[in-house]
Amino acid sequence: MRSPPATVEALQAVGPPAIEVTGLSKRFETAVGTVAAIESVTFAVRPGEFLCLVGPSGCGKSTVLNIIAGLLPASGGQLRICGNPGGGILPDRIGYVFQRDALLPWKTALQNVMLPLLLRGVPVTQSRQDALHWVRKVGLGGFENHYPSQLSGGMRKRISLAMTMVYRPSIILMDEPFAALDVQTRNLMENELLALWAEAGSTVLFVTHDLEEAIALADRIIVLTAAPARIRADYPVPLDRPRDVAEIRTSSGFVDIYRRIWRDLREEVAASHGRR
Amino acid sequence: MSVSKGYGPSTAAVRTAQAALVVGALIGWEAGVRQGWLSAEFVSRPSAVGAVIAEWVRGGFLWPHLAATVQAAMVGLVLGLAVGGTLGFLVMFVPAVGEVIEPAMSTLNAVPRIVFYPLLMLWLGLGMASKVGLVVTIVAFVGYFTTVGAVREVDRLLLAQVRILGASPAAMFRHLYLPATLAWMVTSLRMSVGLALIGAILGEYMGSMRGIGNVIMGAQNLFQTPQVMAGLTLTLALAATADSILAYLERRWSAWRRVQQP
Amino acid sequence: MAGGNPAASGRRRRRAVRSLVLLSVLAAWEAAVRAGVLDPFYTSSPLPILATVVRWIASGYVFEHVLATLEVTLAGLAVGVLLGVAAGFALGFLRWLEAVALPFLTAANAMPRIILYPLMVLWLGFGPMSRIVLVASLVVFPALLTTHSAIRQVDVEIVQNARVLGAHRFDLVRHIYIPAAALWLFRTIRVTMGFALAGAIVGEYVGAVRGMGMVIAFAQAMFRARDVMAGTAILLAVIWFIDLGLRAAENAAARWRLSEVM
Repeated sequence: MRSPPATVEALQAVGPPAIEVTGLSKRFETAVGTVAAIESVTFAVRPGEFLCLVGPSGCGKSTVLNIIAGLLPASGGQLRICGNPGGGILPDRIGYVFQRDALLPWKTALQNVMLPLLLRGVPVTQSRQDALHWVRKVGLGGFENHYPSQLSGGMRKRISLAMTMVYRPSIILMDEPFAALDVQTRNLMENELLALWAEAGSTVLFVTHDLEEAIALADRIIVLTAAPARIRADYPVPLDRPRDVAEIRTSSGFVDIYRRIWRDLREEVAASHGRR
Repeated sequence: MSVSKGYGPSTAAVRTAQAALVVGALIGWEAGVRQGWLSAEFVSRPSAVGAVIAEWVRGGFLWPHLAATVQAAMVGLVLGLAVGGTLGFLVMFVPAVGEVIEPAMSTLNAVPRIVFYPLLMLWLGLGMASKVGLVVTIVAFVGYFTTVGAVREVDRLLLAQVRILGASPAAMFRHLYLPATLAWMVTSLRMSVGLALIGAILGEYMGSMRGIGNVIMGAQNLFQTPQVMAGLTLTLALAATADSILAYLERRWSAWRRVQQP
Repeated sequence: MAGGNPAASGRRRRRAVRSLVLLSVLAAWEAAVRAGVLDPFYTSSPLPILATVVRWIASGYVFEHVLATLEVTLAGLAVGVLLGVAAGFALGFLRWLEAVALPFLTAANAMPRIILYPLMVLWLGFGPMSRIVLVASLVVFPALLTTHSAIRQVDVEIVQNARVLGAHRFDLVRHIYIPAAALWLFRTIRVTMGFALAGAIVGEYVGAVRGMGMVIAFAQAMFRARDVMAGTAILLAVIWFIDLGLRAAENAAARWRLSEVM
């Protein structure tokens, strides 16, 4: 068995949390009045940890992510990134993988992966080299000069991953990144994500409504309530690594954890449906 | 009675009928004039028109005028798109400018640009400058609305992604807004080129300068029907050729647009 | 919230800002001319232009020529639309005609017909007839293709349902196809009106005895900047009013359709 768990343990002893939110809240003004998306969310993510946020659809998980990313201002509460106050865009620290792929359609796969490096002032030749390395790393060697419209959904998602990882952000936010993929592709991507994460050692905050996916991937799972979101429960996931997301679903430990968390989640899903 | 999709006439039959119509029309025209049913003064004959065109080409008469028209159209096109594009970016990114200019442009859009031509002739004279000015006026509106549309339609997702990656406003312009706008411009290029050519011709109708329009106008003043028809035929051929070339280029350059897989 | 609707007051404020900007520009223009910075030969200045406009209105000069332009525009529009709609219906219901003629008609629509004006002058002289024919030619092809599209795109199921309910040929035309065509035509009315006005004005610029275009072109030929400005201003005002009216009609129709659905 390889080192990742040990590394995680080691990292846990060092330094401030990668992400720390305290009493985070967000209200939106709509045509029908003020709507609270998040009420009072408090949690911390340890450096190098893989944390999943799960909750019923529409509960505000993405809003939490967007606030942490600096795309949205919070209405209340505190946000700290690596010990420092957050709230703005922090391109050096934070990467984001969107649900729909956000590749620039007029750039090739390679050019898209090069973009973050170019934005950081890395010289073009070096950028191209690094980008090519990452394109090959996600298994798309030979496709670097293809445009996004010429790639399949799974391939585009891999380029999105490459684009995010190429500049090695210490924190990676992911908003249901694999939701639009078919099941087989999704499993492949999940395994790849775990492999890339193990090597990079980044902190990952992964939002999903799929509890199985969350348990297969995460070190820890936080369950959010139906809108307006609050923390419902916080579960560690002590399953061994490295994991294969398909095989792990049948292990006994997995099923236990699933049963426990599902009880919480099910009530929230029912509540969110009842509210509509 | 139904207009639902059904089985229509066969393609072969249709193509034959169409070819027959074209050929028949030309023959009928020629024969009609020769037989005296149609007045040669008013409609001339295909053979006469063809002879005029051949004479113009052989004698070298055509080329300076063709060049003058095309030159004015191209210069006006580039300038017009630049002016329109710049104005569009200013309106979208400088709110103060946008507040004043945008409603003005929407209002002015209802006015056929030709209305401004006498003003342009007043200020720029009767030569090339006012002709180019007319083309610029026409094309600038296309460039403006294309730019405004492109900037408005930029995918919010791409915007968020590029922001997350740490792009400065200048970088966002360079990597996001500018390529998006250029892509839209290319799509509207066929229309822009067509409008530029028409603008040049109309300018030549009204001013006194070289160009195919001027040739047509001169022939019309002298009641030279074959020459008028020859000039018009050449103009239409020019427009059609330009359009075909652009259609081909558009297909080739839009490689990244073609959606091949889900 | 005290006061009123914040959105409405924002709009009022923006409109006030725009009016202020416009007035400042006019004032600066007048000042520049009086100070000798701007040569009135090229641009004249606001007050003399306004005086001319008032004089022309009072004497009925404007009335006569605006009417002439509008007559040509509306006559051409009426002829073109009626012909286009009739032909569009023919094309919509006769498959063989559609198959044979559609490519020709699409090509004709792509042709810049406005440049054909000298030919029409050759055939019909400089009177209003040549301009009416020009306007009609500009309008007929879009009207035809629009009507044809509208008819072909009527949902088959709607037609079949109506027939089951007992509708005959004439009923279908009256209750389904005509409204469908009318809806599409109405949506494109502002563009169509733009074409019609362009045709009328080009005709008047190139050669006419009456019409606002003639007034402007004549003033330009005489290098009378003040009159060119005054004429252009009046023409712009007329076009603006027409557009305003069409927009109001569009809004009214939209509201009316909404109320039908609810």
